Amino acid sequence: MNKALIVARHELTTMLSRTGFLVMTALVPIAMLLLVGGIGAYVFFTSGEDDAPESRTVGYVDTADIITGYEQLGITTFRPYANETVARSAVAAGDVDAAYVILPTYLQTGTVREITQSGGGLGLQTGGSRSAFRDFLRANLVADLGDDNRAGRVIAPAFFVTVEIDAGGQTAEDSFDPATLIFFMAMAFAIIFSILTITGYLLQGLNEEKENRVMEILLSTVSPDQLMLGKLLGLGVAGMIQIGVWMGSAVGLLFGASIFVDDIPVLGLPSLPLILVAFAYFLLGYAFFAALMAALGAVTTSQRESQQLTVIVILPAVAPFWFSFSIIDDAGGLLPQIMTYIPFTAPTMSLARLALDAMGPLEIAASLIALTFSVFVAVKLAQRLFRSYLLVYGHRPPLVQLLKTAVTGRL
Amino acid sequence: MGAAHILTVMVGVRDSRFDSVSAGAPALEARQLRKQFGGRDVVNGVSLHVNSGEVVGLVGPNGAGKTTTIRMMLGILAPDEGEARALGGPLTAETQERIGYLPEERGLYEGLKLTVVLSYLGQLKGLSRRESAIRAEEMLNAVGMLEHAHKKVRELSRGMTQLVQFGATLLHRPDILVLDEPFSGLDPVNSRRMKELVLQEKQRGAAIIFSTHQMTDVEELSDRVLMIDGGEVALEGVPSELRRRYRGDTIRVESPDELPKSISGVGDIERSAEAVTMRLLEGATAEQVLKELLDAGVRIERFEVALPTLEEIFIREVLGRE
Repeated sequence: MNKALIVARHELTTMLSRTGFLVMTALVPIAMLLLVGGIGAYVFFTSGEDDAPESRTVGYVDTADIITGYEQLGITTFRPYANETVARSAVAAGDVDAAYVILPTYLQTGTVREITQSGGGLGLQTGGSRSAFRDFLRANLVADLGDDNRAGRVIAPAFFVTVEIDAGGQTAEDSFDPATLIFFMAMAFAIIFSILTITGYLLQGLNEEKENRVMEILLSTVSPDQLMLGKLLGLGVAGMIQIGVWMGSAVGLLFGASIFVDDIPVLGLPSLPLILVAFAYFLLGYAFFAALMAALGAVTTSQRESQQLTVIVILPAVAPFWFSFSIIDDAGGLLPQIMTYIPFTAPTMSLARLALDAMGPLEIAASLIALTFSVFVAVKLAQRLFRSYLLVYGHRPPLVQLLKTAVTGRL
Repeated sequence: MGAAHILTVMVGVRDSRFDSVSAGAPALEARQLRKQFGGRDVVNGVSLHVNSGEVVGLVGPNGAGKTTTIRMMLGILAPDEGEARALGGPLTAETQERIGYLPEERGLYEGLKLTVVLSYLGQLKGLSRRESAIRAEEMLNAVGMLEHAHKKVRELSRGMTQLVQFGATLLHRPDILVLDEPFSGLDPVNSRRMKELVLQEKQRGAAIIFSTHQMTDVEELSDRVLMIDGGEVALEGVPSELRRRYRGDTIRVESPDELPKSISGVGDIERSAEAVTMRLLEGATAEQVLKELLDAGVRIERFEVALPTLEEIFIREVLGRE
């Protein structure tokens, strides 16, 4: 077997047996479970009889021509409108709590446009209307069961696409899908957290191998390039497993919760291409930071020293989170755009901007190309330092010498 | 099971692979190796070779360039000039796998079990996972550490760790063994055990080179000795020949009589209860001294021209070069 693969397998199995890694990997799903459970408990305990409205009016526009009756179900009255404009006016005037436009393709797609007043947040406030409208749809569909689509709609009556409007009945600015935002922001945080965790282990491992003097034994059989590649591969797979567990459990938890709670914002999950883009940012971000950490591990002589120096890498990596409010406010602004091309901030910033729908395909491609180039440079630089300083013990070479080695590849 | 028996079982007969190490070519060879660090010559044109079934002792003062020479011969460091060769050809990834290396500054993964560490190192040397696991147990048995197989490295004493490291070096039955200060830090029992293993490897046909500061180790194990000083080969030869080469200036005399305080042609005189040791000045001969003593009426019970120890030769050479 290729020696880089042997190193990779060793790094992966060692990582997967690390208590810290396992705890960290398990902790995030547990925290999410507790969070969702906490929200569920809150909703359950705060939605008692006293808080329930005595009556509710919900508007609808039936462009699919499926509603045949049932103008009253329980406490909810369903009021038809001729078109969306009229329905919007009714919502804006407060005549109805919310209005639902049953789109012409409803039977095929299940899509219903929900019109609510601005400030609806994650949809918890309109949860009762949605739930009632689902019942309304089911009742009408069942009344005229005749094909599979209708049967399908009985099972899953509606996938809401929310349009928030202002007092004038116009679509409110800054309207975005909160589910997508949350998913991407969580993904950005998880990815950068995972990258820094895994590359931190890479650095720690290198320091251990230098401090324990295993390095010289390894280098008598494995070339520095094979060693670096093996470590990057093995730990990269560990990182992907970690991210996979986190993302998988997040999606699973949301879907699971959506079975029991109508208002979980699960329906805005990003599309496959966007997930692939996020994955590309993860891989490139990991390769970039891992190469830097490998270089740091090669030139430092102790874990303490290397931990002090990692601040240089970590601080820029988390910079987008310092500006998160201004980024949400203006995701297409100059600062977010610049940070999209800086390799330290590109993975996090790009994911945040994707969440806010502020990056076009060209910008995504340009950012990925810039990041790929940065990875290439970082790996080359790391290789030179890796080859030259892995066996330097006891003292860190001066900065001038490091720069010289980085440029020339010679001690 | 006794260590000696285990060693016998482990080593068996001479490995037939060594017969194919191309006819007459050394198993390990350095040709005019040169290396500079920071503009300073650390190794300056060192050439040496080790044949299969031969043990070569590499000696030299601290900073002489021994470790740098070894690292270049293993391909860990690239020489500025010169070439390292192994098994009759240039050093390649394949020939590197046939080398077992015990570095001077050594260690193992502290948090891993011995079997895991050995298995990993064995795989890096070209063994399959299964072979590696089997050989790991065999080697732990050979160095008397089998009962600790499932302990983590950090649970072992320094001496025990060193034995395991030596086991790791032999794990893949290397054709060439390069040992940098292999016996330093070992107690006499474990040192003896490791020396037995080295000799068993020699008997198996491995080419062995080891560096040391202990001349007694060199005299005990080496077929040839090579001294490096100032990055150059200062001395090379078979220990017995070297001692004969340097004989002639030290005389040991045993006599019931008091020897004259001054003897012509003699420099330093050391007196002990058993004998008097005297160092000849340049140009003087043992025959002249013997004649002078006899002429002075001294009764001689024993008169010998002593062979110097390797340590004496070493010190003399180093001081002479300074």
